[in-house]
Amino acid sequence: MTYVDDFPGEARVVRTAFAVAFASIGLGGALGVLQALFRTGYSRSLFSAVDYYSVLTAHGVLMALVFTTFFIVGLFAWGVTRSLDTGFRDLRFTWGWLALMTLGTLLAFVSILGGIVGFIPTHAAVLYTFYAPLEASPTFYLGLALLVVGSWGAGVDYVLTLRDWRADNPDERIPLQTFMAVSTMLLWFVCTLGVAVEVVVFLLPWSLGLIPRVDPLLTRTLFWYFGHAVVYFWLLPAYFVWYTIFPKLSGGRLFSDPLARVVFVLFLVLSTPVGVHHQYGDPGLSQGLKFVQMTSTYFILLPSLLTAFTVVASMEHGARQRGGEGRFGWLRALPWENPSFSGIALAGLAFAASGFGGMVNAGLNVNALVHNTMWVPGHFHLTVGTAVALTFMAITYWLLPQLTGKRLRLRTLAAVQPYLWFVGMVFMSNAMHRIGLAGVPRRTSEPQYEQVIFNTPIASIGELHLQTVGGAFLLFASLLCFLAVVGSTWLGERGAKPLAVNGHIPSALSGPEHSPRVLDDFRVWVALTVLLLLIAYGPPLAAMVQNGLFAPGSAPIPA
Amino acid sequence: MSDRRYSRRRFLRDASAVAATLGASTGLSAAASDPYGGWFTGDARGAATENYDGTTVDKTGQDAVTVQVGAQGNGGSYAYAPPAVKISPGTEVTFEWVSNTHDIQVESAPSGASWEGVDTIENEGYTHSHTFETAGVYKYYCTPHLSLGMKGAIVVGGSGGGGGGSTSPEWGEWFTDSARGGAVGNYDGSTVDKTGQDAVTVQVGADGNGGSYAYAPPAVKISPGTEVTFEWVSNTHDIQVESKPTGSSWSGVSSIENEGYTHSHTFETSGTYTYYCTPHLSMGMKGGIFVTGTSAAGGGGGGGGVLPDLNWWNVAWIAGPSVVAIPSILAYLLWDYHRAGAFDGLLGRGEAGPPPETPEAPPATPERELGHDEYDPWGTATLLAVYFVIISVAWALMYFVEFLGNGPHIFG
Repeated sequence: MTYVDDFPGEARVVRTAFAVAFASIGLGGALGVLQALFRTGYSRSLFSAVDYYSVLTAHGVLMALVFTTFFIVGLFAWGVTRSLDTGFRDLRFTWGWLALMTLGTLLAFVSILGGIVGFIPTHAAVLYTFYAPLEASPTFYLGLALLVVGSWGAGVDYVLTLRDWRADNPDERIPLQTFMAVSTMLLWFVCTLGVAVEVVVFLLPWSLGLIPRVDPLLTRTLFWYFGHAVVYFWLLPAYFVWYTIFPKLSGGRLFSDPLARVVFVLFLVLSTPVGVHHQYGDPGLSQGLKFVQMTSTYFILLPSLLTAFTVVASMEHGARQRGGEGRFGWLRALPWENPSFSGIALAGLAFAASGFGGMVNAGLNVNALVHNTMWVPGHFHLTVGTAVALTFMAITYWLLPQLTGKRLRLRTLAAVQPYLWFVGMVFMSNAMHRIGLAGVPRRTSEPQYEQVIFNTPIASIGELHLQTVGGAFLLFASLLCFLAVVGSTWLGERGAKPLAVNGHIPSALSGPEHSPRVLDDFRVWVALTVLLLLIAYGPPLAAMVQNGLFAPGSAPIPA
Repeated sequence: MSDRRYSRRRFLRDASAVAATLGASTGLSAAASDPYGGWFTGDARGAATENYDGTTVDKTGQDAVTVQVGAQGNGGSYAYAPPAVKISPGTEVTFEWVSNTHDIQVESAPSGASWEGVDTIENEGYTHSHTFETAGVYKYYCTPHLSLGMKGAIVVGGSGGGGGGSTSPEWGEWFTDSARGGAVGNYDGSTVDKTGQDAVTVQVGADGNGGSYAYAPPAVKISPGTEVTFEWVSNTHDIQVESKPTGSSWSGVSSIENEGYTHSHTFETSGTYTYYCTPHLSMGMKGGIFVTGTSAAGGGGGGGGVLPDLNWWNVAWIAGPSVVAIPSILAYLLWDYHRAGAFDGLLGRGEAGPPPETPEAPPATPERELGHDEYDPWGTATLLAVYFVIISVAWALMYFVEFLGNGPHIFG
């Protein structure tokens, strides 16, 4: 008996969500290679320097918004129903939100495609960070709004399932996977509010011509209210895997369940009031506000450092149970040939490295060194592009057989894939960081200027460009391996062979009974979140509204 | 990709048309002496544009207009030809490169306009087309040859959709033989645009109409307040006013005059003036002057709809994918459920039974069981200590060397 036998309807939902996610990572990855070739100057004949921005937008939206969101709602649908051992209330509702998300994705993607393809009368070269003054066709904003509203449906589905379960089990602690899924979705509700207001109240009416202009500072601020919390919406599902499945893959048990709950509560509370650290370069926001949000940004290092300890300790527990010895020798006892394990371990390593880059980004003064340079894409290709994406790919090797009832195929290819990704990303991301330190800007199709020479202390920009392109090709090769494994497994025969995995998840060394019950009371944490948000975002947003909602510098409209 | 802004642009165009109509009807004319605000002079960016002689070529009402890039002028092949052109909204302007190394940098455009020019330096044979929808003045220049005066402008006038008519002349049949006298042979259908100029000259008795029997130019468009000087260049002509707007004091020249005679009048009242030469009326010696009602910059339209019209293409674009996508998703789901036997109970079938159960791998048993109290994560502590050392060193390097040193410094 595996998951697909217990919950065939839910398994179908998860499979469908994963299918959209994998299609978009395949397409987005191919566009990523084209982009690397263009930017580094290796090939500029496929499209123009102007179309580069449409390609860039498609890459960003497909990877960072579509792939992540679809994988996450699928992963959580599995986690919630598995850990509560109950199906969703009504699968018609579940299919409804998934259909809405898919429709929104199609609309947004076709809108971006219109920038490159002549016969589609839309354009959306507004990049993944789609704030004013860049303007897209209304269909792009409508599509994104549908994608977000659909994902809210997913959150509602999880919360309702939890409520039903609590009515039946009033005295039990919430299972850890459901706790994590629900706290992540609560964070998602809170942070998407900003982007929903930005899109529905400002950008969509503006692109339709209903309002003549918008306040760029206000829409940027609303975007970044969402724009940093969204990275935790991507990261927390990876943590969900690291905390609840990775210890078992290492051969051990989770070190501490209470610590895991504390970490997720800290993320719920602290993720959103930090967005201004993306706006250190913005005029119109006070230094005081930037300083306050820098402080809260450094606070959010805490739950990630707690995670580093708990997850590595759980991994070490597995190594010791497998017979590992010594201060470092236990590392050799781990199942490095298992792609699910190695992918997550390498993802964690990449995240440790990118944590340092994040500390640089967050520093109000040091940020000036790297602000809007190539360093920043280098940073988020390590975080969302590796810590999150590689974790998702790795856990697919473990989860997909349970969702389909089909044993994993092409296992050698699967075993190589995470290493290929990691090596490719080490080359590409390291080169991007260093290009950024030399001062080369991001979001630029042809980063070359008369009278400007970018200096690098070691190697040259040319060598770094070569590393970027080489890394991009390794990444794309790795992506093709992943898609081949997934595709051939999916096409296999159900139940033909026993699975090589099982869905059993051992209990934690220190269980939830060692933590206070208030941790499970989401009302407290949501209230605290809202309070912090009012402090962090209330005064600046009020000032911007006072300054004129649709016409900055004028009296408030409507008066 | 720059041409795909539909409803917003249309909204703005209509809004400006409304504003222009209102402005005209309330008599708030703001006649500027130069519709381009000195753009073609040396006071603006770059040198004065020598191939701009003060006239704006009127191409209103045409669907397609061509502007040459790199034509002769400004001391070499450094001119846009024509430098200033007036078109109707919706006109497609094609820029044709006729020499090398030019671009089109947009200096200014009306708000809401989407034209971005041509950012890259292009050579002979290159073309760029754009359909201008938003009314107003567009100014542009060539980056490499700005200092030589290679500048241009496009005026997009109102939509001219009936009703207003205050910015376009209404000659009716005056220049044909249906009106009094013969057809005007030297009238080629175009009205010479002299708006924005303080003084304009019309020759009386110029060559045309089978002899020296023409006014040149026969039809001219000026801004209110322009002084028009009529210069006799041959003998025995007069100026009889056929029609003029109410309130105008112009009475023409009723006596027959000869070469060397001049007559000046400052035209203040907006509207259409027609006049003819009594001795040579039958030859077609007729003329017309049109005085615009609003600012010569042509910032507005002369009518058109007041309400923004619904762009059905836009609506179809939003609705179309939904109409296709939703039924496809539904059809797929129904088919998939059907294949999985979900409807078998409803349809009275369903003896096939569920798919085979999938056996899982047995749970792994650890080599040795380590409980909570037997395990101390010393290896983890060691790894994290190493990590903290690494990031501390990296931070010191980043802060003191890269940031405070502010240069390419790693060990350099």
